[in-house]
Amino acid sequence: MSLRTRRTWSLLGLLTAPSAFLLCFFLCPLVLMLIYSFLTPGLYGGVEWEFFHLNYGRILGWADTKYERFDPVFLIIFLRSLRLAALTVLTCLVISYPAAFWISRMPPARRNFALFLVTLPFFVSLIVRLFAWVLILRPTGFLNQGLMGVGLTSEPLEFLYTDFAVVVGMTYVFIPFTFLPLYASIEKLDTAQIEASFDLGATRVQTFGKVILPATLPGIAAGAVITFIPALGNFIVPSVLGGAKVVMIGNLIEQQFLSARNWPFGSALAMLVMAAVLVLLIVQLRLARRQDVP
Amino acid sequence: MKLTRLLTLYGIAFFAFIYAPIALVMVYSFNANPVNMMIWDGFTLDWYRLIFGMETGITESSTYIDSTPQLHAAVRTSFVVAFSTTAISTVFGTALALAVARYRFRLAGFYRVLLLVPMIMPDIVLGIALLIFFITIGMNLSVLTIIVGQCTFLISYVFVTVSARLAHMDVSVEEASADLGATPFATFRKVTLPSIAPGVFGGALLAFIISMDDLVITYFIAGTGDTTLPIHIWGMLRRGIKPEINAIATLMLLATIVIAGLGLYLRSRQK
Amino acid sequence: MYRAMIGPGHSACPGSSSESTLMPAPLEITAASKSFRTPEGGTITALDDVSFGLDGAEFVTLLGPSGCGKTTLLRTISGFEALDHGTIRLEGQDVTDWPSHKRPVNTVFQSYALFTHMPVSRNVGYALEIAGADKATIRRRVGEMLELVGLAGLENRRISQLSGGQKQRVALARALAGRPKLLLLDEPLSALDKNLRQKMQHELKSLQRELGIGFIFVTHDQGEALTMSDRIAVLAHGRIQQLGTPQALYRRPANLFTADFLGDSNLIPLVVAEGRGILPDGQSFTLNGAPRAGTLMLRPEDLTRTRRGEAGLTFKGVVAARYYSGKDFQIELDCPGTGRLLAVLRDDGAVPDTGAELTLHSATDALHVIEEVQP
Repeated sequence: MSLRTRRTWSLLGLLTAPSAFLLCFFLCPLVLMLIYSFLTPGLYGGVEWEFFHLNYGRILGWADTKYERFDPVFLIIFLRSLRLAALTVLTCLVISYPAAFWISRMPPARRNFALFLVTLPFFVSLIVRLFAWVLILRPTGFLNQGLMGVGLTSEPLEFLYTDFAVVVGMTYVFIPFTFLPLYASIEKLDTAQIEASFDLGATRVQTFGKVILPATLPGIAAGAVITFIPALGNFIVPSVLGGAKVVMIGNLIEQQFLSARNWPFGSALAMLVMAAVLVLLIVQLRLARRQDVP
Repeated sequence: MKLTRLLTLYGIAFFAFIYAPIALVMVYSFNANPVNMMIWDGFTLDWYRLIFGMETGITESSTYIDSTPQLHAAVRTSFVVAFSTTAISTVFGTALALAVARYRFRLAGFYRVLLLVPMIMPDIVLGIALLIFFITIGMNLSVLTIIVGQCTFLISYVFVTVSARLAHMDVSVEEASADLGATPFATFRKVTLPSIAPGVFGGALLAFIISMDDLVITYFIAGTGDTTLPIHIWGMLRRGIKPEINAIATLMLLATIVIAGLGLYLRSRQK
Repeated sequence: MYRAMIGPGHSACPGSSSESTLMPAPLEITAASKSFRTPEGGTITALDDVSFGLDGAEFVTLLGPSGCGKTTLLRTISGFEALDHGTIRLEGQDVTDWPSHKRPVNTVFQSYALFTHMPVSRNVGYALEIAGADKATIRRRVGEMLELVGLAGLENRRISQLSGGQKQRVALARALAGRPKLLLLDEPLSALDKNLRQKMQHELKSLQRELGIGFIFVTHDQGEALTMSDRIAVLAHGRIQQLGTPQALYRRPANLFTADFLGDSNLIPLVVAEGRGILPDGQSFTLNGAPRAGTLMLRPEDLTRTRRGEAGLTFKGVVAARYYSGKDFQIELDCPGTGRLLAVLRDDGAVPDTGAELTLHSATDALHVIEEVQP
């Protein structure tokens, strides 16, 4: 057996089982979902294996039959999801940036501990973290009692089941996602660059705008994308903190699968989310590549 | 420096934002007030007693649906799932990481991208795709489907962790072993595995924690009888907020901190 | 003769019946080719029809710039890379298809590649441990080896507690412990500081003589190559440019690449007419052989201020720069017609400074013509 054949065999030994698993249980389901989005929904749940494009037509505008009609509500919900996800990204960035900067300038031992503290909540059960915010935002919750305590308001304000609650919840849940890429990029920033900028006469604001921000832009972009994607498809946070009032695309998809039982339509909605994700990733990749080439 | 001071103050506020809600849950898990959880009504361990199935002094327990047996079943299912998925995804993820890091082959780039996808795609999409797939091929939703479904994305987490470790490892160490007469298997056992062990262990730990916490994907592919802990809590939340959730959450928190702390401790000892 | 010193454990190779008294060469590579795919989709030829071998227990250096194929050549000998074409024989046996763990050669790696999770003793004894030797044998051999490399008593140290030089010696001891028939060294001295490197050069050379096995040493440092080697193979673009003793390579380089890569040299284009080589400034000298065109190579140290003998060349010019290096001066001389020449003059207190006029001579026997024209 030649050296090359030997190597091929050991490579196959490593690859075969996991590849078969991923092909069967990851790629096949995704392809099947794509196919489903073009199938005819059955009358009582289920599907008929016939080509059908009105699943997309109902969302995007060309469905005009008795049963399958275009309804702008789907697009409205999708746009709202985009907006809420974008808001989440923005708050996450604004909150994380100074903190990442602060931690990056700490002495190494303390820095590692601080990083551990930031990442720890990521490992804490999602549902537990959201539950904490229910307790805080409820009419009888912590926030309202605090506000009434200082006399800012006389009766409880409605925080729960608002866009505000959903954005707060998603921000809280996804902060580690934004923080880590941001931190990686800020940590790489050479202090000498900042000093050089001051040395050359720039003010603090100028230094931030002309040196620090551009240098950390890749981290900002990466953090934004990696936060935006799970935020866009999320249905747990809006379910817990948004209730029936703030419905996101994720809730809509869940509904199609578990109560309306229109799987082809649900698949089409999911494909819409995937399309948005894909566009975002391509844009980010382009930007990152442009950053690499001077 | 004024700016530095301001930054420090901000940093403290940042950590308060992250930890205050969690601390709140922990503190109020000892609150005796069964009606309004936010009004402190004395210290009690009753909620913990309740979830462990012990005698409690809760008088209005008739207003609660006692779901303790279901809770215990959910915890058991969660552990079964987490141990199985951790074992499978650790083996598969490590094998893939080794293949991609140590062999030159055309598809290496494809694998790198493929294994990133499950981590960045919205989990609801993977959840429904798996649901469609299992139903179409006629697999009944059960613990098995949960295990298989979770492995599809847990492999990625192990892959990334082990790959990071492999990237730090000098390839020539393995070559040196082969050079000195060790067969590929002996090299793996005596050199590669001891060197990447922290990465493999870290990946396994990560897979375990994520598996224990997975809600979205499990939610779609769990059979009706097979509830994991996050899904059980999800159900409790939907039926109304009950004080014992505080206690369950606190215990989960402690478990996570212990596991994460253990991982961190082992990592620091390696260096 | 060197065979006797390899010691027990390796059976004599089969050998052909007609030449049974003659030992086959320790290493013989025939027509080796190897190319790599680049991530961009192109190919790089790392080895281009290379034939190469060791005649006996030699110290041979593979010398060349990075990317010339020297490391690839070494890695095909150890079995880490497979050849596309060609064969590799060790003591007459075709090992082309053998995996590296079966080949009786060992490597000292550039990064040392020590097993950081094992103490020094297990590193050094690894080959024997793998071969299934008993504990007492391993312990004895490890002791011998550490003694050999001057680290006696460090058996229980952790790798992280060793200095760079000590790691280097452990790597050496580890590679030698299994009594390889050939030792491969991949730029092993590049991470050491200058003094230590010089010391190790001398030690490696004497170690090779003592063990009586072939050493193949890869480096891009020409000084290192000249100091240690019995023979040097200069590589560029995946081909062996020249193979020979250090003196032969330095004095009589076969091509411009070797002349340029080994030491400093002045390369002056020649026009050939009627058996004479004519320099751009009109001087000429008798050529041996009959090249059609060529380049004259003059080493800087061959240019002197005093004339030796009647024949030879003379260069008159203005000193453009003068650099002091301790015992002598490096002079850059601008000569009309010839261009800028490099010379090394002993510091006798009278070396002219920048701007002064200077005449330099070279003897006929210092002239070496390379049959290649500069592009």
